[in-house]
Amino acid sequence: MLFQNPPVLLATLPRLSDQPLEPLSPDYLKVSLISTGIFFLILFGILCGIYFFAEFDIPYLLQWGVIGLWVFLFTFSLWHTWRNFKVQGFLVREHDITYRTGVFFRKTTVIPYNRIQHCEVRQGPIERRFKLRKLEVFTAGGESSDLTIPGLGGDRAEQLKTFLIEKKGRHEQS
Amino acid sequence: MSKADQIPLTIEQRQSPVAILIIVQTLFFTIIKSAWPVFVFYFINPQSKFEVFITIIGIGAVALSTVGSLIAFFNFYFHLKDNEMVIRSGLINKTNRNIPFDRIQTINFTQTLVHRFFNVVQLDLDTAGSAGSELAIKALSKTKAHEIRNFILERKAEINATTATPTDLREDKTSVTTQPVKELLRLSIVDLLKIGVSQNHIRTAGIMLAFSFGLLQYTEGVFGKEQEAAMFAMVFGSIIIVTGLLLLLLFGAFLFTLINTVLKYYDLRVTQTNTGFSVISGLFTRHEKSAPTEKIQLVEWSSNPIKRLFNLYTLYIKQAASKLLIGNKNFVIPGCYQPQIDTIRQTYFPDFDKDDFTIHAISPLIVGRYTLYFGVVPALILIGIYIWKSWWVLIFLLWIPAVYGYARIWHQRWRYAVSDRGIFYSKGFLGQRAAILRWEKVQAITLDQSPFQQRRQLTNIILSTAGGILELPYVSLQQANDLQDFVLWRVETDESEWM
Repeated sequence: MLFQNPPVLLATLPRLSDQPLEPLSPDYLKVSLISTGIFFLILFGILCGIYFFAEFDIPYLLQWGVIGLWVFLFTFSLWHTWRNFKVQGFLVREHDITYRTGVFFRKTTVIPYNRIQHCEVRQGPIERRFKLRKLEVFTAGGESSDLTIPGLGGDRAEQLKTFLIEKKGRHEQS
Repeated sequence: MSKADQIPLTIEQRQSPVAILIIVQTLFFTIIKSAWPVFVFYFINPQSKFEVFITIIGIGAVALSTVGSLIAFFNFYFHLKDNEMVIRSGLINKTNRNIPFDRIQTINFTQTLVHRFFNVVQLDLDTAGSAGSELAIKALSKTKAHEIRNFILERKAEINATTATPTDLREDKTSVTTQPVKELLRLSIVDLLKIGVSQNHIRTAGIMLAFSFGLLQYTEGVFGKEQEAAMFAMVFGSIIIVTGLLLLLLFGAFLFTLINTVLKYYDLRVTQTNTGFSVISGLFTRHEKSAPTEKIQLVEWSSNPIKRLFNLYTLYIKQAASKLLIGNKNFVIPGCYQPQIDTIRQTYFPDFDKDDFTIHAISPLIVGRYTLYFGVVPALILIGIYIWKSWWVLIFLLWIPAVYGYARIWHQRWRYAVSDRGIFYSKGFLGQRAAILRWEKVQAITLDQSPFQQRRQLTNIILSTAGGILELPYVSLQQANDLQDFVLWRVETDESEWM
């Protein structure tokens, strides 16, 4: 029992953990995989640069070691991105918004609408190709409590933003 | 009252002329600091005429800073409008800054020695822009500064009153001019010495430890491992030297913190006002900070073994601040006693009743994890590195039960208690800490799980407020979900404002 006072009430509260989360747009998996790929290609380019322009001889063993590490990290990151996509999800309820992310270190953040300061919709270059946007929700609680939902397709991000601002405004009027 | 004081605040006006002096001072040091390449140049070419350089830099810095500060002073105007402050500044790029009163989070006063000589204050405004900018009026007569603060606070309250529902109107809001009600605390020199003695020396100890490890490495390098027997004797001798050096260093560090504490917190006074709290302190530079009651988000207090000897606590009043300042210790009372904590808790949490709260423990699984991360892993690493040199290193195995024992006590002392109004926790064995939070101050709630916690159905709960976070580690997932649902329901249905 968590509280002395309202034990009856607690059972009647809507349970957040029972609700299934809404997954991100399937295209967002592609976006994440592509950005991981680009990062590792750039890393490969830098390694090649070091190899060709180094003034000293790099031991054979170290060369293969680095390549092995690169392959391992690359594969791992792709796997991690794919797994994380399955974890990532959000939930819009009547009074709050939830976002979950993280394979190993899982983080679930909930922001009540009446604590929202402002919202922003943004789009990166790869996301633009797939017509995806991300929604950022800010509170007065600083970085620890801000929330970014990526991979919202079509008008979803703008719709959500309008919805949140309307909810926030309704609270401020009352 | 001087002539300048009689100008109404609504008319555009300049700062007190003392501002020129203050700006000269800051500009001068900025210029001197930016002239460092010249000094480097001198060190590379010692034959060059240093005196000439010094004179040129000196005259240049004086001339530049004088001209600069005169320009800055004569082009800086401010006045107050109905619900905003307008600041006009700049010579070439004229800028008009309008700062709406509801954006102003805190109004603080600072007095350096120069300020105090001329009996003026610097007015610092922390505004809650998304960029988190700060703004200062360098010098104002004391009367004027207080007038401005009262004006802004009064207008802010009026703005709040018109937007809020009539039931929200609390009676004390009608007169908001800050007036001291009661002096809560005034630190004497003896108090200051106690605080200085009990300041956190752990950091200093860490530096000392690193230093002694370095020395050990050094002696090892000198002797090599063949002469272990001889080394043993030598090490014994060097231990005495090292201990002596350490003691000397410790004494130096101790003296430094002591002097620093006395200078920084000299004549610290905490006053309860009709709107909240204010604290003034400092020997040379005097800071005045205020914490209006409704801005207080989270109250924390901590102690350590030495502090407990003196019954002293460090008190953190965490106020709502702009993004940049969150987490800064923006309102810290370095030493106070139980009655002051009670008063501040009473103000922040008027309906606090211990009987409403249900006490909970965190999961005992934290003991094992704590022992693994801080006991087993470091011990095995050390042993793994040094086992080739000497079997003596196995003594580090004793570290593991020591950490385990500490973790057991630490876990036993970790208690949190929840009621339908808020939460408080107390934790710690050597260094102890406690905090109290009202539910309506919560901005967001985050559940954070490591792989181990996911397997064992545990989670950390992070409650974010506009003044900082409160974290509960290793809570059972079931309980965390209950708490989350409840806090969300409280925040979403409660009409009381978080600020």
